[in-house]
Amino acid sequence: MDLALAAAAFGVPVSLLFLDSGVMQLLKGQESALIKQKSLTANLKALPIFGVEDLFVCQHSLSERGLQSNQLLLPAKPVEGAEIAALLEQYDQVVTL
Amino acid sequence: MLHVLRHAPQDSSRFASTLRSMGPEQGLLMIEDGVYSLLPDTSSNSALQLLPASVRLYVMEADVSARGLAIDDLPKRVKLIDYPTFVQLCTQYDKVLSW
Amino acid sequence: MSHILLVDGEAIKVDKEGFLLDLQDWSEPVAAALAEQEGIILTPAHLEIIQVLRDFYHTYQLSPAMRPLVKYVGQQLGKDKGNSLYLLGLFPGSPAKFAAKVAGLPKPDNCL
Repeated sequence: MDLALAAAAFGVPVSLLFLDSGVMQLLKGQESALIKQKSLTANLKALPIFGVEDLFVCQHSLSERGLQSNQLLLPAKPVEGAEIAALLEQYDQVVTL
Repeated sequence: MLHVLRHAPQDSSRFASTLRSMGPEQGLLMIEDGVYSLLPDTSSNSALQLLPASVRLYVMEADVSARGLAIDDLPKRVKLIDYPTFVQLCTQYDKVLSW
Repeated sequence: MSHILLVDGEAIKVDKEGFLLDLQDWSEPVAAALAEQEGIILTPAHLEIIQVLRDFYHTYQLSPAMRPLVKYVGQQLGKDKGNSLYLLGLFPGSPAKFAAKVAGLPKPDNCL
């Protein structure tokens, strides 16, 4: 997350793909303060203002967890297998976080 | 693109996600616990065999032997590699994605 | 190691670069004292930006770097203020860093 924000702050075009359990970070209504954790929700909402506007989420990972894209706190575009493969090819650098 | 898988399919969903996100002309290298994807008679092993022939499969031989898996049991299409070859593969593919 | 900033007889702890150690210590008099350390006399124009910065921090739990700061100020106060020249005029040198300091926010992580 810090990597994405830092890169964006320096004007590097950044997109994010949420995959597997990563999609859970996008779920609304997380009260991380209850377990004394920093809220990633607040940070995620900062993405557009940092210029990270292309957000993708794996449809399969959502379905696996019984989630719908309207339960997410940011508008992320749902993508399927072949689209993910094409997406990964499109970028100069791909980093797994 | 070369996908490098280093977790066992039995422990994490990375294996399934890697296969779902792979294109037909890409490579998949299994290292560390990723070599457990090749255990005989497992669904992961079958899934690998079903990949299009254009997908190149590699496995780190040292990681296979270190875990007591038999080299002879590996599917024929999987290429055994050593560390220098790992480096070579990383330079050969335009991108490396570590899972 | 902590340093002390005296404001109206109260000892406020700051780090060696002058950022507040406890963000709860912030108040307008503290802001004025922090600004003075940077050679800035606070005006309503400064306070307006400081308030926007504090809103940014409360919303996103982040101290903004320059680009997002400019964009956010633009959204909140309009385009004539949401540009780096305006911010540089108020907080010379490194606006994101000095404004964050005066607003009582942690130093931005990615601020050079």
